[in-house]
Parts: sequence; C-alpha cells; structure tokens
Amino acid sequence: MSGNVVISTKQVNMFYSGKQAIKDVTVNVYENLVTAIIGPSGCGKSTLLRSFNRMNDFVEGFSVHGDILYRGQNINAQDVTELRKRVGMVFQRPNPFPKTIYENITWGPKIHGRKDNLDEVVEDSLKRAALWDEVKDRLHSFAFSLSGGQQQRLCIARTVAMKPDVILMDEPCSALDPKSTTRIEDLINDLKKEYTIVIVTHNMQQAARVSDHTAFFYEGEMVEFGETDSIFTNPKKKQTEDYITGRFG
Amino acid sequence: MFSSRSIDKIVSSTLFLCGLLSILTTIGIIFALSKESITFFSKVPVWEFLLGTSWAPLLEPKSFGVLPLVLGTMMVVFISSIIAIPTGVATAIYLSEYASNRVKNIIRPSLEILAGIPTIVYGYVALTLITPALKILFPEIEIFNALSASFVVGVMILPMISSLCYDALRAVPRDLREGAYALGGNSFDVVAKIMVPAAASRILAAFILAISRAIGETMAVTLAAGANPQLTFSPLKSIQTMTSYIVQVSLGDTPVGGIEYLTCFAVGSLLFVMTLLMNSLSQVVLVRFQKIK
Repeated sequence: MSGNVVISTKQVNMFYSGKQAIKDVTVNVYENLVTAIIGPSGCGKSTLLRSFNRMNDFVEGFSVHGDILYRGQNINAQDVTELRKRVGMVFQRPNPFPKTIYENITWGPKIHGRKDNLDEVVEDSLKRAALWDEVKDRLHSFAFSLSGGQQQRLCIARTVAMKPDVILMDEPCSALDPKSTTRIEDLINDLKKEYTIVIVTHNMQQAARVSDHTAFFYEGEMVEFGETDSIFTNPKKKQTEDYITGRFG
Repeated sequence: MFSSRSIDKIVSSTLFLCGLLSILTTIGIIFALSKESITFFSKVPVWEFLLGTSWAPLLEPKSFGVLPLVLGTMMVVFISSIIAIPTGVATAIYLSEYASNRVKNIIRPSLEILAGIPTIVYGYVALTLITPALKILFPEIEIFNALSASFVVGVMILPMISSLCYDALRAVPRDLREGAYALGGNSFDVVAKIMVPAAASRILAAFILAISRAIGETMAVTLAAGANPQLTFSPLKSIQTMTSYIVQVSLGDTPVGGIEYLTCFAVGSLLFVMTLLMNSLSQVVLVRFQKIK
C-alpha cells in the first residue's frame, strides 16, 4: 500500500464509560482512495469513524487513548470546527436541515464566513453530488420534499460545499432503497477523484464494489486490513473469511 | 377471585371516571361563571364593560369599565415576559449546549425550587425586598407598584419557560444537531441557526403557556401591585389586575347577589376566555408547525 496517508491512528483505544469499544487499532487512510470499514454490529466501526472528526466528543463518558492524526497532526491539537470543515461527514439516515435545498447547501459556507458566489457553490456542489439536474428548478423548495435518496445526496452536496479533504460516511445507504444505493455508490466512485473517503458499511458487497482498501473489525479489534481485492479473494485470517463468506455477522 | 378481564374492566372504568371528573369540573365552572355573568350583563351592557375606561364598582357613582384592570394585567404580563422570556430561553440554550453535567445538576433543581415556592411568598418578597431596591433607582415609585409585581411574576414563570424550552431543544433530532456540528458549526451556530428554528413551535407554545400563567397569577400581584384600578402606562404606579380585583371583592363584605358581587363573575369570565384563548393558540401553534416539519 502506498500513497499519502491522510488519517492515521496509532495503537488507539476507545472507551464508553470504561467499557472498551476499540482495542489497540493502528490503521492508515490513504489519499484519494476509498477505505471501507466492515464488521458485524457492535464491532466498533462507527465509533472509529466518528472519532476521525471528533463526533464522539458529544458522547457522555467517551474517551480516547492514543493518537489519531490528520495530515500528520494530532486531531485533538486542532481547532475542532476547522477539523470538521476539512473532514466532513455523511450520516446513516439523511439529515437535511428543515430549510430549503439552497439553504441546506449554503449553511456550512455561510457560518464559515462565505458571502459571495453562493449560487455558484450551490450549483457546483449539487452537480458533484449528482443531484443538480433533479432539483435545479426547485432550489428554494423544502428539503423534505425530496425522496430519501435525494436527501442523502443533498447531505453529500452539503458536505462537498465545504470543500473538504476527507468525507466520512457512516452506513450512508442503510436507509435507502437499492436504486438510490446504486446512485450513491456511483457517486462515491466519482467523488474519490477529489476526496479521500472512509465508509462504514455492514454490506460486504458494497464494500467490495466501492472501496480500494478494507478494514475488517471484530469486537473492537482490527482483524485484517488490506487492499479490498485481496481481502475478499484471499483473506489471511480465518475470522475474515468466515465473515465475508457469511458464516456469521 | 376476579378474573383478569374483570379487573381490567374495573381499572378502565375507574380511569374513565377520573377523566370524566376534569370534564365535569370544566363544565361546572363554565356554568357557574356564565350564570352570574349573564345576570351582570343584563344590568350592564357588554360594550360598557369592555370599553369603559373607569372601574369603580364599589364606589358611588359606580362605573364598570374593565379596561383599567385589563391594562393592569397586560402591563404585568408584558413586563414579566420581557424579563422571563429572554432569560428563560438563554437558560435553556445554556443547559442544552454549553453547561457541563455538573452545572446542569445544580441549575435544574434550582429552577424546580423556584417553581415550587408558594406565590404568596413571591408577593412579600416583591413588597419587602424588590420595591425598596427599586426605590433607590426610582425615588418616585409607589409602595404598591406594577414593576415589582411584574418582576416576581417574571421570576415565577421563568422555570416554566426554561424547562419547556429545554425540552423543546432536547426534542430536536440528534441527527440534525450532529449534522450541523459535522459541518464545522460552533455551539452558537448550531443552537441559534438550527436547533432553535427547528424547535420554534414548541418554544413559541412555551411562551404562550407562560404568558397565560402570568395572566392568571394572583397572590403576588394582589400583594405587590396594589388595588388601584387606573388607566396608566407607568409601571411605577399602583394598579389593579383582574385577578387581584376578584380577591379584593371575595375577601370584602360584598353582599351576595348585588351588582358588586356579580362583577367578580364578569371579570372571571373575561379572564377565563383570555387564558382559554392563549392555551388554544399554543395548541394551534404546535399543530401548525408540526405539519410543516
């Protein structure tokens, strides 16, 4: 594996009120690639993902031991709003703001002081999220008037509008129908040209389809990490093989 | 002894009776109020009551213009809302987004204590503590005055506003809040631009309920604001609210059945209609906004 490392963890342990959720994980996320984190429910994959942009700060009793680096710098040493601007996130369920489509896109840039060319930002972000053609005539209608799949693409557009470096996706298709899922997966393939993507998924076919690297987690430990092709065709660990062949999970 | 089905039936009918009780009480109150009010309005025309600017039913020559009482009530409501609404919302925002758990565990019980203090206590706090303090700022202030009464009514409705607004903010879906933080928003961006607008209907409903509580507040204003029904906009003067007028008549030696006695019911009906309207308004606001979401 080669390329620039964007996010890395070094022997990281995470706890929820003393209960260990992540055990001694060392992993690298590489630039302009899609890294998938897979594993059964409760294996810690979302916990790890959410720690990359410090979303676990909101969780009562959560603690991290060990270093998480973004572009070589400890994420706790950075301004958290600046970090989240660079490391964006798309959530499990589409969560557009109760505002118009246009306002959903401009909210982020605006709070970071951007006032000019917002129209351009909106058009550009929606095009990147493959949503422009569907909504260009109704930018000022309410975001909830969109379908679930469109809402999720709007959330991706909203994240893209921040011009992030990394996009974290926490099971972004789990609330969507198969057709919308395919559209998001195609979109991920396009987005990786410009962004580094980390995606948590419980859908192994999805991991195989969209990712370049795969990390398999089990009970808080990273069992195996490697190029997606070799993980799926030639897993080195028995546990990985059992999981991807559907023997458990 | 009893089958589980018959126990179920007994429980269900007992609970139904409890529910029925509140309906019967409401009907009873409406009946009592309207019976005497109708007698009153057969003697004093409605328009004279509603639009008259002088209230002196106990003195000769009698006059029955309720406006001074309404204005007195409104003044207390207005000033207390100006005090309590911003403070209450700010408290709720602080508790929801900024306060650590330790601070929260101090502030929330304190607010509950505030809510539990008997209103008569607030009344003499106003009279013996706040009015003398206000006298330093405004030497011309009267011993009984609207300002100090409004002040304590504000403190009284504060816990209601802050706890209802806090609940409203907590009810905003977690996804929405996290989505806003994930775009690099700071706490102020998230709470002011996403959470408060998303909770707007419940926050507005909280205001209306609190205002309705302020309209109906009795003991503190009776004690602190005086019994001087006059058409004034100065909070430094003694006034009388609708509720404190009712107290005055109820405690006095007004003969039952006389016109003075009947005024109580007319004022009470008006009060009832006002708070009923406010509470219905808050329901409408809640339902209307929930539809949009």
